[in-house]
Amino acid sequence: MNKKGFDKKLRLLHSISNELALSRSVNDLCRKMIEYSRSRLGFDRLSTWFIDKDPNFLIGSFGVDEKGRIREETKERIRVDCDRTVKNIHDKKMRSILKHGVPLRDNSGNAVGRGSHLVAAIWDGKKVIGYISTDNLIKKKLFTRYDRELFELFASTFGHLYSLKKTEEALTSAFDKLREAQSHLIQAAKMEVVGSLASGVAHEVKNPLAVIIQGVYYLSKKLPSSDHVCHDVLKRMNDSVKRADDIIKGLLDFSVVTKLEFIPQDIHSIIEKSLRLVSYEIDKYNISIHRQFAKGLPDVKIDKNKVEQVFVNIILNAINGMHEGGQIWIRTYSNGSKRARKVYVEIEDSGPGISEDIMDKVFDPFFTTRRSTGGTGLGLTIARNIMEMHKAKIALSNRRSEHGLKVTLIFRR
Amino acid sequence: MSLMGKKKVLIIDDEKNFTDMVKLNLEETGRFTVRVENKGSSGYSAAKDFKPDLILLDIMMPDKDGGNVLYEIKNDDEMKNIPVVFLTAIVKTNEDPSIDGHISGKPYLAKPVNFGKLVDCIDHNVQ
Repeated sequence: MNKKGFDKKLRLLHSISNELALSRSVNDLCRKMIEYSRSRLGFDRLSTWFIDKDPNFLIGSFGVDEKGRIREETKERIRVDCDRTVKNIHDKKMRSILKHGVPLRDNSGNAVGRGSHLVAAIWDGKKVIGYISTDNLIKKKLFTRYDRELFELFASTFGHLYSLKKTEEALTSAFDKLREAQSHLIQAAKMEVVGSLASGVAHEVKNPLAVIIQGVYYLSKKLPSSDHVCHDVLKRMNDSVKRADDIIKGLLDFSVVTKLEFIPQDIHSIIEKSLRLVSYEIDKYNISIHRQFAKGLPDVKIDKNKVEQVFVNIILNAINGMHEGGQIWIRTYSNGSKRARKVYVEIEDSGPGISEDIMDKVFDPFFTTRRSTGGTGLGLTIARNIMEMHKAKIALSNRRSEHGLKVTLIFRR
Repeated sequence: MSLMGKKKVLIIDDEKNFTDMVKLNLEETGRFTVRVENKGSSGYSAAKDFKPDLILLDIMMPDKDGGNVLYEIKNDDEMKNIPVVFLTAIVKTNEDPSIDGHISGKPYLAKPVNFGKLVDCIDHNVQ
Protein backbone atom coordinates (compact mmCIF):
# COMPACT_ATOMS: atom_id res chain seq x y z
CA MET A 1 0.00 0.00 0.00
CA ASN A 2 1.24 3.56 -0.69
CA LYS A 3 0.27 6.90 0.86
CA LYS A 4 -2.60 7.49 -1.57
CA GLY A 5 -3.99 4.00 -0.93
CA PHE A 6 -3.57 4.56 2.81
CA ASP A 7 -5.63 7.79 2.74
CA LYS A 8 -8.34 6.03 0.76
CA LYS A 9 -8.38 3.14 3.23
CA LEU A 10 -8.57 5.60 6.13
CA ARG A 11 -11.81 7.02 4.73
CA LEU A 12 -13.08 3.47 4.27
CA LEU A 13 -12.17 2.73 7.88
CA HIS A 14 -14.31 5.65 8.99
CA SER A 15 -17.39 4.34 7.14
CA ILE A 16 -16.68 0.76 8.31
CA SER A 17 -16.56 2.07 11.87
CA ASN A 18 -20.01 3.67 11.46
CA GLU A 19 -21.44 0.44 10.10
CA LEU A 20 -19.86 -1.69 12.80
CA ALA A 21 -21.39 0.60 15.46
CA LEU A 22 -24.81 -0.64 14.29
CA SER A 23 -24.02 -4.30 15.06
CA ARG A 24 -26.74 -6.13 16.96
CA SER A 25 -24.42 -7.82 19.43
CA VAL A 26 -20.78 -8.36 20.36
CA ASN A 27 -20.65 -11.54 18.26
CA ASP A 28 -22.22 -9.74 15.32
CA LEU A 29 -19.61 -6.98 15.68
CA CYS A 30 -16.72 -9.45 15.71
CA ARG A 31 -18.00 -11.34 12.72
CA LYS A 32 -18.64 -8.20 10.67
CA MET A 33 -15.21 -6.85 11.60
CA ILE A 34 -13.65 -9.90 9.95
CA GLU A 35 -15.87 -9.63 6.87
CA TYR A 36 -15.23 -5.91 6.34
CA SER A 37 -11.51 -6.14 6.94
CA ARG A 38 -11.32 -8.81 4.24
CA SER A 39 -13.69 -7.34 1.69
CA ARG A 40 -12.91 -3.66 2.12
CA LEU A 41 -9.57 -3.21 3.79
CA GLY A 42 -7.81 -6.06 2.05
CA PHE A 43 -6.61 -8.04 5.10
CA ASP A 44 -7.55 -11.51 4.06
CA ARG A 45 -6.41 -14.03 6.70
CA LEU A 46 -7.32 -12.88 10.21
CA SER A 47 -7.51 -14.15 13.72
CA THR A 48 -8.94 -12.33 16.74
CA TRP A 49 -8.21 -13.19 20.37
CA PHE A 50 -9.27 -11.57 23.63
CA ILE A 51 -7.33 -11.69 26.88
CA ASP A 52 -8.98 -14.09 29.33
CA LYS A 53 -9.59 -13.42 33.05
CA ASP A 54 -6.33 -15.33 33.46
CA PRO A 55 -3.99 -13.01 31.51
CA ASN A 56 -1.81 -15.94 30.42
CA PHE A 57 -4.63 -17.16 28.19
CA LEU A 58 -6.52 -15.87 25.18
CA ILE A 59 -10.13 -16.62 24.17
CA GLY A 60 -10.95 -16.96 20.47
CA SER A 61 -13.47 -14.89 18.54
CA PHE A 62 -13.85 -15.06 14.76
CA GLY A 63 -11.15 -15.65 12.19
CA VAL A 64 -10.33 -16.73 8.66
CA ASP A 65 -8.63 -20.04 7.97
CA GLU A 66 -5.98 -20.88 5.39
CA LYS A 67 -8.69 -21.53 2.80
CA GLY A 68 -10.25 -18.11 3.29
CA ARG A 69 -13.30 -19.34 5.23
CA ILE A 70 -14.65 -17.42 8.24
CA ARG A 71 -14.49 -19.56 11.38
CA GLU A 72 -16.10 -19.10 14.75
CA GLU A 73 -13.43 -19.75 17.37
CA THR A 74 -15.28 -18.52 20.47
CA LYS A 75 -14.91 -21.85 22.27
CA GLU A 76 -11.13 -21.91 21.80
CA ARG A 77 -8.70 -20.96 24.51
CA ILE A 78 -4.95 -20.84 24.04
CA ARG A 79 -1.91 -19.83 26.04
CA VAL A 80 -0.42 -16.44 25.16
CA ASP A 81 2.98 -17.98 24.59
CA CYS A 82 1.81 -20.45 21.96
CA ASP A 83 2.41 -17.78 19.30
CA ARG A 84 5.80 -16.14 19.56
CA THR A 85 4.74 -12.91 17.87
CA VAL A 86 1.69 -12.57 20.11
CA LYS A 87 3.85 -13.30 23.14
CA ASN A 88 6.31 -10.59 22.07
CA ILE A 89 3.67 -7.95 21.63
CA HIS A 90 2.03 -9.04 24.88
CA ASP A 91 5.27 -8.93 26.91
CA LYS A 92 6.65 -5.76 25.38
CA LYS A 93 3.27 -3.96 25.43
CA MET A 94 3.65 -2.79 21.83
CA ARG A 95 0.90 -1.54 19.58
CA SER A 96 1.88 -3.87 16.71
CA ILE A 97 4.60 -6.12 15.35
CA LEU A 98 5.31 -6.83 11.70
CA LYS A 99 7.63 -9.67 10.68
CA HIS A 100 8.59 -10.82 7.24
CA GLY A 101 9.70 -14.25 6.02
CA VAL A 102 8.30 -16.10 9.01
CA PRO A 103 6.45 -19.45 9.01
CA LEU A 104 2.73 -18.98 8.60
CA ARG A 105 0.55 -21.53 10.43
CA ASP A 106 -2.97 -22.97 10.20
CA ASN A 107 -5.34 -23.22 13.18
CA SER A 108 -3.74 -26.43 14.30
CA GLY A 109 -0.34 -24.75 14.43
CA ASN A 110 1.01 -26.54 11.35
CA ALA A 111 3.23 -24.50 9.06
CA VAL A 112 1.45 -23.88 5.75
CA GLY A 113 3.88 -21.42 4.15
CA ARG A 114 6.13 -18.45 4.79
CA GLY A 115 5.34 -14.76 4.55
CA SER A 116 4.54 -11.59 6.48
CA HIS A 117 2.83 -11.79 9.85
CA LEU A 118 1.25 -8.64 11.36
CA VAL A 119 -0.18 -8.52 14.88
CA ALA A 120 -1.86 -5.47 16.44
CA ALA A 121 -3.07 -4.92 19.98
CA ILE A 122 -6.77 -4.27 20.47
CA TRP A 123 -7.17 -1.31 22.83
CA ASP A 124 -10.36 -0.21 24.53
CA GLY A 125 -8.98 3.26 25.18
CA LYS A 126 -7.35 2.38 28.48
CA LYS A 127 -5.79 -1.03 28.15
CA VAL A 128 -5.09 -3.90 25.78
CA ILE A 129 -7.99 -6.31 25.68
CA GLY A 130 -6.81 -8.62 22.88
CA TYR A 131 -4.93 -9.10 19.64
CA ILE A 132 -5.77 -9.25 15.99
CA SER A 133 -3.39 -10.84 13.55
CA THR A 134 -3.16 -11.14 9.82
CA ASP A 135 -0.78 -12.53 7.25
CA ASN A 136 -0.31 -12.59 3.50
CA LEU A 137 -0.63 -16.36 2.99
CA ILE A 138 -3.55 -16.07 0.53
CA LYS A 139 -2.80 -12.93 -1.52
CA LYS A 140 0.96 -12.86 -1.04
CA LYS A 141 0.84 -9.04 -0.85
CA LEU A 142 3.83 -7.51 0.92
CA PHE A 143 2.82 -5.52 3.99
CA THR A 144 4.18 -1.96 4.14
CA ARG A 145 4.34 0.49 7.03
CA TYR A 146 1.02 1.88 5.78
CA ASP A 147 -0.57 -1.55 6.10
CA ARG A 148 0.82 -1.75 9.62
CA GLU A 149 -0.48 1.70 10.56
CA LEU A 150 -3.88 0.99 9.04
CA PHE A 151 -4.04 -2.31 10.87
CA GLU A 152 -3.18 -0.62 14.16
CA LEU A 153 -5.88 1.99 13.63
CA PHE A 154 -8.34 -0.72 12.67
CA ALA A 155 -7.51 -2.74 15.79
CA SER A 156 -7.89 0.35 17.97
CA THR A 157 -11.23 1.30 16.35
CA PHE A 158 -12.47 -2.21 16.77
CA GLY A 159 -11.35 -2.22 20.41
CA HIS A 160 -13.38 0.91 21.21
CA LEU A 161 -16.44 -0.45 19.43
CA TYR A 162 -16.07 -3.82 21.16
CA SER A 163 -15.86 -2.18 24.56
CA LEU A 164 -18.92 -0.03 23.82
CA LYS A 165 -20.94 -3.00 22.59
CA LYS A 166 -20.03 -5.06 25.69
CA THR A 167 -21.13 -2.19 27.93
CA GLU A 168 -24.32 -1.79 25.94
CA GLU A 169 -25.10 -5.52 26.29
CA ALA A 170 -24.41 -5.41 30.03
CA LEU A 171 -26.68 -2.38 30.41
CA THR A 172 -29.45 -4.02 28.38
CA SER A 173 -29.20 -7.17 30.47
CA ALA A 174 -29.27 -5.14 33.71
CA PHE A 175 -32.25 -3.16 32.44
CA ASP A 176 -34.11 -6.35 31.49
CA LYS A 177 -33.43 -7.81 34.94
CA LEU A 178 -34.57 -4.60 36.59
CA ARG A 179 -37.73 -4.55 34.54
CA GLU A 180 -38.43 -8.16 35.42
CA ALA A 181 -37.84 -7.42 39.11
CA GLN A 182 -40.11 -4.40 38.87
CA SER A 183 -42.79 -6.49 37.22
CA HIS A 184 -42.52 -9.06 40.03
CA LEU A 185 -42.74 -6.30 42.63
CA ILE A 186 -45.82 -4.84 41.01
CA GLN A 187 -47.37 -8.27 40.81
CA ALA A 188 -46.50 -8.93 44.46
CA ALA A 189 -47.97 -5.58 45.47
CA LYS A 190 -51.15 -6.37 43.57
CA MET A 191 -51.32 -9.78 45.16
CA GLU A 192 -50.83 -8.21 48.57
CA VAL A 193 -53.82 -5.98 47.95
CA VAL A 194 -55.77 -8.99 46.72
CA GLY A 195 -54.55 -10.86 49.80
CA SER A 196 -55.84 -8.19 52.16
CA LEU A 197 -59.10 -8.00 50.25
CA ALA A 198 -59.43 -11.77 50.22
CA SER A 199 -58.88 -11.99 54.00
CA GLY A 200 -61.43 -9.29 54.62
CA VAL A 201 -63.93 -10.80 52.18
CA ALA A 202 -63.34 -14.26 53.67
CA HIS A 203 -64.11 -13.05 57.16
CA GLU A 204 -67.16 -11.02 56.12
CA VAL A 205 -68.63 -13.75 53.92
CA LYS A 206 -67.81 -16.83 55.96
CA ASN A 207 -69.59 -15.59 59.04
CA PRO A 208 -72.96 -15.19 57.29
CA LEU A 209 -72.34 -18.57 55.65
CA ALA A 210 -71.78 -20.02 59.10
CA VAL A 211 -75.16 -18.66 60.20
CA ILE A 212 -76.88 -20.19 57.17
CA ILE A 213 -75.30 -23.59 57.81
CA GLN A 214 -76.52 -23.60 61.40
CA GLY A 215 -79.96 -22.42 60.34
CA VAL A 216 -80.26 -25.08 57.65
CA TYR A 217 -79.32 -27.72 60.20
CA TYR A 218 -81.94 -26.43 62.66
CA LEU A 219 -84.70 -26.38 60.05
CA SER A 220 -83.77 -29.86 58.82
CA LYS A 221 -84.39 -31.15 62.35
CA LYS A 222 -87.67 -29.33 62.68
CA LEU A 223 -89.22 -30.36 59.38
CA PRO A 224 -91.20 -33.57 59.21
CA SER A 225 -89.14 -36.28 57.50
CA SER A 226 -92.01 -36.82 55.07
CA ASP A 227 -91.59 -33.34 53.64
CA HIS A 228 -89.14 -34.41 50.95
CA VAL A 229 -89.36 -31.21 48.95
CA CYS A 230 -88.34 -29.03 51.89
CA HIS A 231 -85.54 -31.40 52.82
CA ASP A 232 -84.31 -31.26 49.25
CA VAL A 233 -84.37 -27.47 49.36
CA LEU A 234 -82.34 -27.47 52.56
CA LYS A 235 -79.85 -29.89 51.07
CA ARG A 236 -79.35 -27.62 48.08
CA MET A 237 -78.84 -24.67 50.41
CA ASN A 238 -76.27 -26.66 52.33
CA ASP A 239 -74.43 -27.62 49.15
CA SER A 240 -74.44 -24.03 47.95
CA VAL A 241 -72.92 -22.83 51.20
CA LYS A 242 -70.24 -25.49 50.86
CA ARG A 243 -69.52 -24.32 47.33
CA ALA A 244 -69.30 -20.68 48.39
CA ASP A 245 -66.96 -21.73 51.18
CA ASP A 246 -64.71 -23.59 48.72
CA ILE A 247 -64.53 -20.55 46.49
CA ILE A 248 -63.54 -18.33 49.40
CA LYS A 249 -60.87 -20.85 50.40
CA GLY A 250 -59.67 -20.88 46.82
CA LEU A 251 -59.46 -17.09 46.78
CA LEU A 252 -57.45 -17.18 49.98
CA ASP A 253 -55.13 -19.75 48.43
CA PHE A 254 -54.83 -17.64 45.31
CA SER A 255 -54.06 -14.46 47.18
CA VAL A 256 -51.45 -15.70 49.58
CA VAL A 257 -48.84 -16.55 46.94
CA THR A 258 -46.73 -13.49 47.69
CA LYS A 259 -43.85 -14.29 49.94
CA LEU A 260 -42.11 -17.54 49.35
CA GLU A 261 -39.35 -19.05 51.43
CA PHE A 262 -36.93 -21.02 49.28
CA ILE A 263 -35.19 -23.72 51.27
CA PRO A 264 -33.66 -26.94 49.88
CA GLN A 265 -36.29 -29.64 50.33
CA ASP A 266 -36.67 -33.33 49.65
CA ILE A 267 -39.52 -33.50 47.14
CA HIS A 268 -40.44 -37.05 48.21
CA SER A 269 -41.24 -35.97 51.77
CA ILE A 270 -43.49 -33.19 50.46
CA ILE A 271 -45.31 -35.66 48.20
CA GLU A 272 -45.83 -38.02 51.15
CA LYS A 273 -47.17 -35.18 53.33
CA SER A 274 -49.55 -34.17 50.55
CA LEU A 275 -50.81 -37.74 50.28
CA ARG A 276 -51.44 -37.78 54.04
CA LEU A 277 -53.45 -34.56 53.75
CA VAL A 278 -55.78 -36.17 51.21
CA SER A 279 -55.75 -39.61 52.83
CA TYR A 280 -59.44 -39.29 53.73
CA GLU A 281 -60.39 -38.89 50.07
CA ILE A 282 -57.97 -41.65 48.97
CA ASP A 283 -59.54 -44.08 51.43
CA LYS A 284 -63.10 -42.94 50.74
CA TYR A 285 -62.80 -43.60 47.00
CA ASN A 286 -60.49 -46.59 47.30
CA ILE A 287 -57.75 -45.01 45.16
CA SER A 288 -54.49 -46.92 44.62
CA ILE A 289 -51.31 -44.89 44.78
CA HIS A 290 -48.22 -46.16 42.92
CA ARG A 291 -44.87 -44.55 43.70
CA GLN A 292 -41.87 -44.62 41.36
CA PHE A 293 -39.43 -42.43 43.24
CA ALA A 294 -35.91 -41.91 41.92
CA LYS A 295 -33.11 -42.80 44.31
CA GLY A 296 -30.75 -40.00 45.24
CA LEU A 297 -33.04 -37.30 43.87
CA PRO A 298 -31.38 -33.95 44.56
CA ASP A 299 -33.05 -31.48 46.91
CA VAL A 300 -34.89 -28.58 45.34
CA LYS A 301 -35.04 -25.00 46.63
CA ILE A 302 -38.78 -24.46 47.12
CA ASP A 303 -41.36 -23.14 49.55
CA LYS A 304 -42.51 -26.38 51.15
CA ASN A 305 -46.04 -25.29 52.07
CA LYS A 306 -46.81 -23.81 48.68
CA VAL A 307 -45.53 -26.81 46.71
CA GLU A 308 -47.49 -29.06 49.05
CA GLN A 309 -50.55 -27.10 48.00
CA VAL A 310 -49.71 -27.76 44.35
CA PHE A 311 -49.52 -31.50 44.95
CA VAL A 312 -52.73 -31.48 47.02
CA ASN A 313 -54.63 -29.62 44.28
CA ILE A 314 -53.41 -31.97 41.54
CA ILE A 315 -54.05 -35.16 43.50
CA LEU A 316 -57.52 -33.96 44.58
CA ASN A 317 -58.34 -33.13 40.96
CA ALA A 318 -57.26 -36.62 39.96
CA ILE A 319 -59.36 -38.26 42.68
CA ASN A 320 -62.42 -36.16 41.87
CA GLY A 321 -62.15 -37.06 38.19
CA MET A 322 -62.02 -40.79 38.75
CA HIS A 323 -64.55 -43.42 39.66
CA GLU A 324 -64.25 -45.62 42.68
CA GLY A 325 -61.08 -47.68 42.60
CA GLY A 326 -59.04 -45.39 40.37
CA GLN A 327 -55.24 -45.29 40.23
CA ILE A 328 -52.63 -42.59 40.59
CA TRP A 329 -48.96 -42.97 39.63
CA ILE A 330 -46.40 -40.56 41.04
CA ARG A 331 -42.99 -40.63 39.36
CA THR A 332 -39.89 -38.55 40.16
CA TYR A 333 -36.58 -38.22 38.33
CA SER A 334 -33.85 -35.75 37.47
CA ASN A 335 -31.50 -35.23 34.52
CA GLY A 336 -29.50 -38.08 35.90
CA SER A 337 -26.34 -36.41 37.15
CA LYS A 338 -25.49 -35.31 40.69
CA ARG A 339 -25.38 -31.76 39.42
CA ALA A 340 -28.72 -32.15 37.65
CA ARG A 341 -30.36 -28.83 37.21
CA LYS A 342 -33.96 -29.98 37.01
CA VAL A 343 -36.15 -32.29 39.04
CA TYR A 344 -39.28 -33.78 37.48
CA VAL A 345 -42.48 -34.95 39.14
CA GLU A 346 -45.10 -36.70 37.02
CA ILE A 347 -48.57 -37.42 38.39
CA GLU A 348 -50.75 -39.65 36.21
CA ASP A 349 -54.26 -40.87 36.85
CA SER A 350 -56.60 -43.42 35.33
CA GLY A 351 -59.46 -40.95 34.96
CA PRO A 352 -61.11 -39.76 31.76
CA GLY A 353 -58.42 -37.19 30.90
CA ILE A 354 -59.25 -33.76 29.47
CA SER A 355 -60.78 -33.09 26.09
CA GLU A 356 -58.23 -31.46 23.77
CA ASP A 357 -60.59 -28.62 22.90
CA ILE A 358 -60.58 -27.35 26.47
CA MET A 359 -57.01 -28.24 27.38
CA ASP A 360 -55.88 -24.64 26.97
CA LYS A 361 -58.57 -23.37 29.37
CA VAL A 362 -57.84 -25.55 32.38
CA PHE A 363 -55.57 -22.99 34.00
CA ASP A 364 -58.12 -20.17 33.64
CA PRO A 365 -59.53 -18.98 36.98
CA PHE A 366 -62.95 -20.46 37.76
CA PHE A 367 -62.88 -22.78 34.73
CA THR A 368 -64.15 -26.19 35.83
CA THR A 369 -65.86 -29.23 34.33
CA ARG A 370 -67.14 -30.21 37.78
CA ARG A 371 -69.23 -27.22 38.74
CA SER A 372 -72.23 -29.48 39.47
CA THR A 373 -70.16 -31.51 41.97
CA GLY A 374 -68.55 -28.57 43.72
CA GLY A 375 -65.52 -27.74 41.57
CA THR A 376 -64.37 -24.13 42.02
CA GLY A 377 -62.04 -23.88 39.03
CA LEU A 378 -59.19 -22.40 41.08
CA GLY A 379 -57.05 -25.43 41.89
CA LEU A 380 -54.94 -25.47 38.73
CA THR A 381 -54.81 -21.66 38.56
CA ILE A 382 -53.31 -21.62 42.04
CA ALA A 383 -50.97 -24.48 41.18
CA ARG A 384 -49.67 -22.65 38.13
CA ASN A 385 -49.24 -19.40 40.08
CA ILE A 386 -47.18 -21.18 42.69
CA MET A 387 -45.05 -22.90 40.04
CA GLU A 388 -44.45 -19.60 38.27
CA MET A 389 -43.37 -18.00 41.53
CA HIS A 390 -40.81 -20.78 41.76
CA LYS A 391 -39.74 -20.20 38.14
CA ALA A 392 -40.85 -23.78 37.63
CA LYS A 393 -43.21 -25.30 35.05
CA ILE A 394 -46.44 -27.26 35.03
CA ALA A 395 -47.79 -29.01 31.95
CA LEU A 396 -50.84 -31.18 31.31
CA SER A 397 -51.28 -33.88 28.70
CA ASN A 398 -53.49 -36.87 28.18
CA ARG A 399 -51.85 -40.23 28.71
CA ARG A 400 -50.80 -41.78 25.41
CA SER A 401 -51.94 -45.34 25.45
CA GLU A 402 -54.55 -45.32 28.22
CA HIS A 403 -57.24 -42.99 29.49
CA GLY A 404 -56.13 -40.48 32.04
CA LEU A 405 -54.28 -37.27 32.62
CA LYS A 406 -50.59 -36.67 33.16
CA VAL A 407 -49.38 -33.61 35.02
CA THR A 408 -45.67 -32.85 34.71
CA LEU A 409 -43.99 -30.52 37.19
CA ILE A 410 -40.45 -29.35 36.44
CA PHE A 411 -38.47 -27.73 39.25
CA ARG A 412 -35.15 -25.95 38.94
CA ARG A 413 -32.61 -26.69 41.64
CA MET B 1 -70.63 -30.07 83.97
CA SER B 2 -74.08 -28.97 85.12
CA LEU B 3 -76.13 -30.93 87.63
CA MET B 4 -78.41 -32.25 84.89
CA GLY B 5 -75.35 -33.94 83.27
CA LYS B 6 -75.33 -31.44 80.45
CA LYS B 7 -72.00 -30.09 79.20
CA LYS B 8 -71.55 -26.36 79.67
CA VAL B 9 -70.31 -24.57 76.55
CA LEU B 10 -69.33 -20.89 76.40
CA ILE B 11 -69.24 -19.31 72.91
CA ILE B 12 -67.17 -16.12 72.65
CA ASP B 13 -67.76 -14.67 69.18
CA ASP B 14 -68.79 -11.21 67.98
CA GLU B 15 -71.21 -12.59 65.33
CA LYS B 16 -74.55 -12.60 67.21
CA ASN B 17 -76.49 -14.38 64.45
CA PHE B 18 -73.94 -17.17 64.43
CA THR B 19 -73.75 -17.59 68.21
CA ASP B 20 -77.55 -17.56 68.56
CA MET B 21 -77.88 -20.29 65.90
CA VAL B 22 -75.18 -22.46 67.47
CA LYS B 23 -76.75 -22.06 70.92
CA LEU B 24 -80.15 -23.02 69.48
CA ASN B 25 -78.80 -26.16 67.80
CA LEU B 26 -76.63 -27.27 70.71
CA GLU B 27 -79.40 -26.87 73.27
CA GLU B 28 -81.89 -28.64 70.98
CA THR B 29 -79.78 -31.80 71.39
CA GLY B 30 -80.56 -31.76 75.11
CA ARG B 31 -76.91 -32.38 75.91
CA PHE B 32 -75.58 -28.88 76.28
CA THR B 33 -76.15 -25.70 78.27
CA VAL B 34 -74.83 -22.80 76.26
CA ARG B 35 -73.89 -19.24 77.20
CA VAL B 36 -73.08 -16.68 74.56
CA GLU B 37 -70.71 -13.70 74.87
CA ASN B 38 -70.50 -11.38 71.84
CA LYS B 39 -67.79 -9.07 73.18
CA GLY B 40 -64.24 -10.29 73.25
CA SER B 41 -63.43 -7.87 76.08
CA SER B 42 -66.06 -9.60 78.26
CA GLY B 43 -64.94 -13.11 77.36
CA TYR B 44 -62.73 -13.62 80.40
CA SER B 45 -65.38 -12.44 82.89
CA ALA B 46 -68.05 -14.58 81.18
CA ALA B 47 -65.80 -17.64 81.52
CA LYS B 48 -65.04 -16.79 85.16
CA ASP B 49 -68.74 -16.51 85.94
CA PHE B 50 -70.04 -19.47 83.87
CA LYS B 51 -67.18 -21.93 84.51
CA PRO B 52 -67.76 -23.81 81.24
CA ASP B 53 -66.60 -27.33 80.34
CA LEU B 54 -65.41 -26.00 76.96
CA ILE B 55 -64.96 -22.61 75.28
CA LEU B 56 -65.55 -21.97 71.58
CA LEU B 57 -63.45 -18.89 70.90
CA ASP B 58 -63.51 -16.74 67.77
CA ILE B 59 -60.13 -15.35 66.75
CA MET B 60 -60.99 -12.16 64.89
CA MET B 61 -63.07 -9.92 67.15
CA PRO B 62 -63.07 -6.13 66.94
CA ASP B 63 -62.54 -5.18 70.62
CA LYS B 64 -60.23 -7.96 71.76
CA ASP B 65 -59.04 -10.85 69.64
CA GLY B 66 -59.24 -14.48 70.63
CA GLY B 67 -55.52 -14.78 71.30
CA ASN B 68 -55.64 -12.14 74.03
CA VAL B 69 -58.78 -13.62 75.56
CA LEU B 70 -57.08 -17.02 75.65
CA TYR B 71 -54.06 -15.49 77.34
CA GLU B 72 -56.25 -14.09 80.14
CA ILE B 73 -58.05 -17.40 80.62
CA LYS B 74 -54.85 -19.46 80.67
CA ASN B 75 -53.30 -17.15 83.24
CA ASP B 76 -56.13 -17.86 85.66
CA ASP B 77 -55.41 -20.96 87.76
CA GLU B 78 -59.09 -21.76 88.06
CA MET B 79 -59.64 -21.74 84.32
CA LYS B 80 -56.34 -22.68 82.72
CA ASN B 81 -57.41 -26.30 82.18
CA ILE B 82 -60.67 -25.50 80.41
CA PRO B 83 -60.36 -26.78 76.83
CA VAL B 84 -60.55 -24.05 74.21
CA VAL B 85 -61.43 -24.57 70.53
CA PHE B 86 -60.73 -21.71 68.14
CA LEU B 87 -63.19 -20.70 65.48
CA THR B 88 -61.70 -19.12 62.39
CA ALA B 89 -62.85 -17.90 58.99
CA ILE B 90 -59.37 -17.45 57.48
CA VAL B 91 -58.35 -20.90 56.45
CA LYS B 92 -56.72 -22.04 53.22
CA THR B 93 -57.34 -25.35 51.48
CA ASN B 94 -54.38 -27.22 52.92
CA GLU B 95 -55.11 -25.86 56.39
CA ASP B 96 -58.73 -27.03 56.50
CA PRO B 97 -58.55 -30.21 58.52
CA SER B 98 -60.51 -33.28 57.55
CA ILE B 99 -60.26 -34.50 61.12
CA ASP B 100 -58.70 -31.97 63.43
CA GLY B 101 -56.41 -29.03 63.13
CA HIS B 102 -54.40 -27.03 65.61
CA ILE B 103 -53.26 -23.40 65.90
CA SER B 104 -50.45 -22.94 68.43
CA GLY B 105 -51.34 -26.26 69.96
CA LYS B 106 -55.03 -25.39 70.31
CA PRO B 107 -57.65 -27.21 68.25
CA TYR B 108 -59.62 -25.15 65.74
CA LEU B 109 -62.68 -25.37 63.56
CA ALA B 110 -63.01 -23.56 60.26
CA LYS B 111 -66.13 -21.52 59.64
CA PRO B 112 -68.66 -22.23 58.27
CA VAL B 113 -68.61 -25.26 60.53
CA ASN B 114 -70.74 -28.32 59.97
CA PHE B 115 -72.88 -28.90 63.07
CA GLY B 116 -72.05 -32.60 63.36
CA LYS B 117 -68.35 -31.77 63.24
CA LEU B 118 -68.89 -29.13 65.91
CA VAL B 119 -70.57 -31.61 68.28
CA ASP B 120 -67.86 -34.23 67.61
CA CYS B 121 -65.21 -31.64 68.39
CA ILE B 122 -66.88 -30.65 71.67
CA ASP B 123 -67.28 -34.29 72.73
CA HIS B 124 -63.69 -35.03 71.76
CA ASN B 125 -62.21 -32.14 73.74
CA VAL B 126 -64.34 -32.15 76.89
CA GLN B 127 -62.67 -34.30 79.50
